[in-house]
Amino acid sequence: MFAYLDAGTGSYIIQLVIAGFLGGLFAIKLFWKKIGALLKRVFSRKREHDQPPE
Amino acid sequence: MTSLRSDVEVPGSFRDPSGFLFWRDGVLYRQVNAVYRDDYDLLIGSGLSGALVDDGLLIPHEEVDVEPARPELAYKILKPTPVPFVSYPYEWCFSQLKDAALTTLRVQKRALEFGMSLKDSSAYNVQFVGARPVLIDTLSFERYHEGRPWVAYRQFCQHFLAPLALMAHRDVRLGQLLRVYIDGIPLDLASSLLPLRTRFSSLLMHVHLHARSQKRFADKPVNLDKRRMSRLAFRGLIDSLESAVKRLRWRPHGTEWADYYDETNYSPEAFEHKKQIVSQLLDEAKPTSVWDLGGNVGVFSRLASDRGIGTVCFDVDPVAVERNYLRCRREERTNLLPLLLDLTNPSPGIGWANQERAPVQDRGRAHTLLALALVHHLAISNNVPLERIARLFSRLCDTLIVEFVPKTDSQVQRLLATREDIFPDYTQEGFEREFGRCFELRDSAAIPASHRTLHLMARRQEV
Repeated sequence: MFAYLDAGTGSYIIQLVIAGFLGGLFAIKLFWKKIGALLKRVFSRKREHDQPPE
Repeated sequence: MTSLRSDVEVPGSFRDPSGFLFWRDGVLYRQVNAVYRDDYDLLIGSGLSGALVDDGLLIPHEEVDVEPARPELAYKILKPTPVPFVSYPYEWCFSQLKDAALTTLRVQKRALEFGMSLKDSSAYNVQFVGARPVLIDTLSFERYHEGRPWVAYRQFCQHFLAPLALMAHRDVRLGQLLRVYIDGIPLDLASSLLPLRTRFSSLLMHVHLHARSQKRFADKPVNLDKRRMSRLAFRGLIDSLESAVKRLRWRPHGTEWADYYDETNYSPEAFEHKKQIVSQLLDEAKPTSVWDLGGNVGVFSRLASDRGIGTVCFDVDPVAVERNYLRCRREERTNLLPLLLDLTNPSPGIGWANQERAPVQDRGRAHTLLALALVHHLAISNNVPLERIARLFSRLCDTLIVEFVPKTDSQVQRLLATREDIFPDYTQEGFEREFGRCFELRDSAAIPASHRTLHLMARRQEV
């Protein structure tokens, strides 16, 4: 690999500094997304059950 | 530099040693250099290229069997699908720049799924096909190495985040700084111009602290080999940038030009008449391409676009261009491109040797030019003699559809209200005489219920 752009030391370091915070935030976001999807599935299944048979 | 075949290398394509673009016999090719072989093979072999093309995020290309422009460096030659008109970030409205930023991040997210990453994130790598932004640089990808930070983070912040933040939080005209800074707005400058409230958002990290970090570590040797950035953190960074861009909003307020059609002296009937006459003249001209100068929100551009004619609509007003673009996006137009351009000071050649980014008139010409309700602004507000206006138009097109608005018209009266009338030649006769030097009159029509006239003209061959 070669990088033709100068990433810049400061731009590299700020990423390493905020990495933990952003990684954590993203993990929480993914977790809530999964919970949301799970709840959606449970409720949509329940609604299917609640519907009277045609 | 140039081979015997009279290939012409594209002047904006020299920074990345992975390859370059060149013209041969009117066809644009991209040479992939041997040094980029592994990454190119991964791009194709992993299926990333195909996935991005299917998603409309990357310009399609085909590998062709033609002689390379520089055989000693070559691995492959590609023939990319040409973009109808090349435009630059300082010619885009707020939402165009925002959509280009989001497209870049979408590409980056997709690339990560395939084990690759963008090695640059230049706004110049995005072009618009109508209202659809698309990445044009096939050589922007490299293998993702887990642990390494994003090499293009600085460039993304400078090319996209900083200008968008300045446009949203300070003044939309600050987007024009991109014309001065070819590699994006320096983050320390953006940080000093942004209001205090931006320190309470993710702009704190990506612009303000980023600028501080750049200043602190400038020219300091730091061993970064042992520091790692996990894949999760990398994805978090891209996600954070995406949220930051999405949160930036600019609501266009009324400006002199955006309310133009409400304030003109056209009655609804006269406006309809004008549209009918322009439509007839377009049918007569049979254009293959149209440039609408001073096109405002694109009412007349749409007459051409609806006829399937590729159209570029230029206007000086960021509000008008924004409205036009948002409407094009809603309509999913692929053949109408709204762009910001001040005709009295058009985009110049910038970058290395003033050739890296071409002046607007070097990026193509129109078969037919629409200049509607424009000449009086150029002649009277900007003191441009009619002869010079005609000469410029004749350089840009073969056929001209032009409106003449005489001094008796209330719009011209308004322009003359606060200044001395130093335009004795600004008359119907003067207009016909001066334009007659460059163009041959083909047809004219008076617009009912107004003093205005429309003319269809063909460029004289000897001009």
